[in-house]
Amino acid sequence: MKNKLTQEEQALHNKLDSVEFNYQDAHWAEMQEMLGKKGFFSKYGTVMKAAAVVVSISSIVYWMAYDEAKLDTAKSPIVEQVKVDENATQNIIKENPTNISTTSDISKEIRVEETPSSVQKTEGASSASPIKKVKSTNNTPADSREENVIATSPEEITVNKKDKPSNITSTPIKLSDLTVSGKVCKGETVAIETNFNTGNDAELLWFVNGSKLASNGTQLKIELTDGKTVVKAKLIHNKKVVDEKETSIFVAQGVEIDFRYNDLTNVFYDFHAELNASPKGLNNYQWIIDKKLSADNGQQITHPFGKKGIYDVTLMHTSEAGCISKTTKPVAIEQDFKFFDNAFSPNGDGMHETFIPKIFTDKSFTDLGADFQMSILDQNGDLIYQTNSVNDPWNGRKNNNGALMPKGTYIWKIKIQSKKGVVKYFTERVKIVGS
Amino acid sequence: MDLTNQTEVRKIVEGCAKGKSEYQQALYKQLYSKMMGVCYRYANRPEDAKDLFQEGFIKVFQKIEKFNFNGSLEGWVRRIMVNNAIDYYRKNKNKYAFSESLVEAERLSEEDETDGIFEGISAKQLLEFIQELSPMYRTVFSLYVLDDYSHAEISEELNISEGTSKSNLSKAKRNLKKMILEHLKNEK
Repeated sequence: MKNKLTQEEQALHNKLDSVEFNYQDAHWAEMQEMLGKKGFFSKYGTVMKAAAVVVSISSIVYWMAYDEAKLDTAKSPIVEQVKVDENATQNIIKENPTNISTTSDISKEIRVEETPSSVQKTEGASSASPIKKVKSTNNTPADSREENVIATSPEEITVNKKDKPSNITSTPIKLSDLTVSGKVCKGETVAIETNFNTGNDAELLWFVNGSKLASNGTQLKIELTDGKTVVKAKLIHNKKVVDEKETSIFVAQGVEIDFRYNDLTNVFYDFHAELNASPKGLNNYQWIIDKKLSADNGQQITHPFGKKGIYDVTLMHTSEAGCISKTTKPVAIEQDFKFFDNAFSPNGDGMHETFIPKIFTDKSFTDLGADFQMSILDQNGDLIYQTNSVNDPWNGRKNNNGALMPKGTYIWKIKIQSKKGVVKYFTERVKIVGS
Repeated sequence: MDLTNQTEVRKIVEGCAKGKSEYQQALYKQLYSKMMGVCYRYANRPEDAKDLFQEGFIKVFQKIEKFNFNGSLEGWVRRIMVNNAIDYYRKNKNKYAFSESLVEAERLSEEDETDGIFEGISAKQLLEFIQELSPMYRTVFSLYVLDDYSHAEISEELNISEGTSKSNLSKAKRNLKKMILEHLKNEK
């Protein structure tokens, strides 16, 4: 503080600074709605402003301003916020039971199509037809071969036509079948290999889904995406295609996984949270919490975070084919018990007449069916009141029926014991105020 | 979440800047109690405090990518909240039928014992009294006592003289004391 406060001002400052407000989910819900709307209005607003420019200046200016407006809104976090929400609804849809069955169908598909042996079968089958094609090409006159020479210009082809018949018959250059090695999963890199039986004067061209690649070694490495990837190798000798092989690699759509978390509002578990993975139908999830792999690999786990913080949690799932899906999200552990009431006024005015720390009358505690004992002690440590029921709060009197205790500070101690025998103690102070 | 831990602050700021709801909520939740307290001190009534708080947080989320990590995030958020509250004061000052100069500062009589009276009431009760102050008194009081604005800064923000700021502060305190004294008398 740069202001030098008087004693009185300091007292006011301290008092006002100590006020606590309980977080309300309803306020956050409202905020989210406002963030959504605000995003819409600010977008709309900027476009409207841009529209005003059109009227006053010129259409060229309009388009510049409009583009800027678009850029602005694209950068705005609020717009992305909306996207996040969309994802959230998608995820909810995914949890719908009928969709779960589709998801598991997909995982079966992966099993069938992604095991290395079956890949090779697929490859064999698909490369069979190009071989036939090449053979038939060899038997037909030169002009039909032109189709296969993709990289060469028309002039070269016409020149080459003259040499062709002799070349093909004299040197039968062959490409070996394409082999695929590596994990056939989305995002993984696989190696495709072939060999040919001629020297350095032959050139190998690679095509992926019809596009020519710069690479021309006997091994090609590609990163796989969802769906079908067709890889074709063409061998060029004396500027002519002399052989070609093709293989198709299928990557079934990966399983999309997600998780949600719940800060457990159970007084026995400080800073524990429940993590819930979806879809539910899968097993063998892996949880990486704060860079450590959890020993627990269930679909729903309870993790002791130990203290407040924001933790990066990664959920991973490995399909039977060995494909890994993963998602990482922050988990905010907030749980911090506040007992709120630290004073009451047993003066018969009907307000704040009795005392019991709120958290223990909350459903989150009473539902546990745990043992409860509250003792009230005065400053000398003498027992004033004791109860084993959350329904019998202290009314400010000795044993709840004697004389009203004088104003001042008292100590409350609470012992709770869960059904499993977990014991916890709480000790705080409470004041009797008013008259 | 620990807002004094730079790594966590970075995570939060980056997450919020990307508009990620989880991070926004984490920050919102973390600062809820403190910032609601700030807004209460400037508002006419509890509903206005909530609106000020929500408006302020929208500004926080809109501006967070500009946070430069000099100074604490909490302090930065608080400045946005206070600025928002000053705007609220400026917008509303003409809404009231009375002029501030006509608000009579309560006089304390000689026999009124004011030592330690602030200890006798709850913080929430004190907040209610703050809301009962006139808008100008309340705003000057909060800016000076809680948010560390100097009289020079207050005079600039509220477009009043430094002298007015000082006298408003002492009138605000006197009125507060009067309210507390009456409250305590009624309780007895």
